[in-house]
Amino acid sequence: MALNSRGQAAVTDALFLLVVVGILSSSLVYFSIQYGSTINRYVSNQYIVDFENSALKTMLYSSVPRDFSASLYDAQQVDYLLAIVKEDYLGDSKLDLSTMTVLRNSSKIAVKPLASNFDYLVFIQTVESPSEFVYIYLNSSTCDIDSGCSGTGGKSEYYCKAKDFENVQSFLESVGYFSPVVSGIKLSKATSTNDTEPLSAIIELAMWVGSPLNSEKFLLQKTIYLLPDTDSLDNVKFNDSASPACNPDSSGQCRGILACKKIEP
Amino acid sequence: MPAFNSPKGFIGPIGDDLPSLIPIVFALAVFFSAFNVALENFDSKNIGFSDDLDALKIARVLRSNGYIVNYENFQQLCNLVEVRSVNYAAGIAELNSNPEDSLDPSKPYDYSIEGILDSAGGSDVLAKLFYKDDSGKVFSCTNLKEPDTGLSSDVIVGKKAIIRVYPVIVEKQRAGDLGLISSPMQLVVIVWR
Repeated sequence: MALNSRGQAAVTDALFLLVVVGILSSSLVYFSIQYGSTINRYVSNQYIVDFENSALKTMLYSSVPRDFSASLYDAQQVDYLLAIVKEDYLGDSKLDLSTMTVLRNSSKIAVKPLASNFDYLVFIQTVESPSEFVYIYLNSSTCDIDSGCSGTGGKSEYYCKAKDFENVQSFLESVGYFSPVVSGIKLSKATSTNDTEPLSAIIELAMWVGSPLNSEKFLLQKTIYLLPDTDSLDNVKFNDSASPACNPDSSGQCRGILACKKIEP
Repeated sequence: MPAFNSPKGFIGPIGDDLPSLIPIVFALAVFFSAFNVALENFDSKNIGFSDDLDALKIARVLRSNGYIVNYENFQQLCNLVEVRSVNYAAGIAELNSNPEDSLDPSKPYDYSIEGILDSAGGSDVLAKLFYKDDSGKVFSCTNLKEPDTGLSSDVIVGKKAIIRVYPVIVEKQRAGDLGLISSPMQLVVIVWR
């Protein structure tokens, strides 16, 4: 009887050992699968940041014909895009539609290799008080709402307006994980005595994995206001409580929102 | 009659524990298999990270400030690349397979390394993949001794090559005496083992 009891205890011990080893082994395999996910994210992020840095430089230092209707290969006079932006801003402290178009096209060319999978926002903002947005361009995925955003959508382009940087930041936070890259540029503005004075500004490019603007995520978060086709971006009033661009907070103060108007092809 | 209590069934101190040895051996087999799987997983991931970092390193050297003046400038950068643990081929290429579409923002990106290598059929692959200036110099950089045999579409698919692409500016001479332009192009880096 004593012998039988000892034999059963040994088998039970062995089964306990099997359970413990089983748990340890599955933990080991689980951790080995998890291993490197942080490094992987870091490497991917580094690639996107390097790509964006290159794209910003490529945009600003691309040659552009002085006569926008001419081809780059035939134009008599060409200049860097940055020079053309500076020159245009100097005139009336804003950019003409033709300069905005050249800037938009240049960003589309620079981002081409990743454009099919990523959405992006480019903006120029003066940094000296009062800071103002010179240019905001959004290139985003769209989807067909009728099909529940399950089908493959295309890309839409928007010029945008924001009350302040918070509006842009709120929108970027709502897209999920995004990688921003900022570069300082120098603009100039005319003074009342017809002199020019330098003005510091930044150009920022932020990219994120494509996410349709008309999907439920954005509609619920209310971080962007897409203007109807009949409305103009010039008529957007951030401080008018009757305007959808007001986006009041709990105390009724207008916070503003990133207001965007689709660019028709 | 004392069959049950007789020492007949007793086959020694080890023999009596034989049934418990089965789960112990099984547990050891499970543990060492899991250990082996984990070790292989760590190894393959570490190799992947190392290749990824090598690709970033090569790209950072070749991009430099993102503005490439001419072939000599690119070759100077190429000579600064010090990566020996992996095979690599890098170079400057147009953004689209048809160079005329490269500066057209409405044309989607269609540069396919695999497609070009397939159509090259193992001859002059670097010249077909990368940009050639007016004097016929190919903007490429590699540590392969025989690029035509070492770089094929099998490398891209079978060896799961890491491909990194970056926009860069390259100065190009225009026809006639119209002078230089700085044209958007791409730096392509291919890394594999």
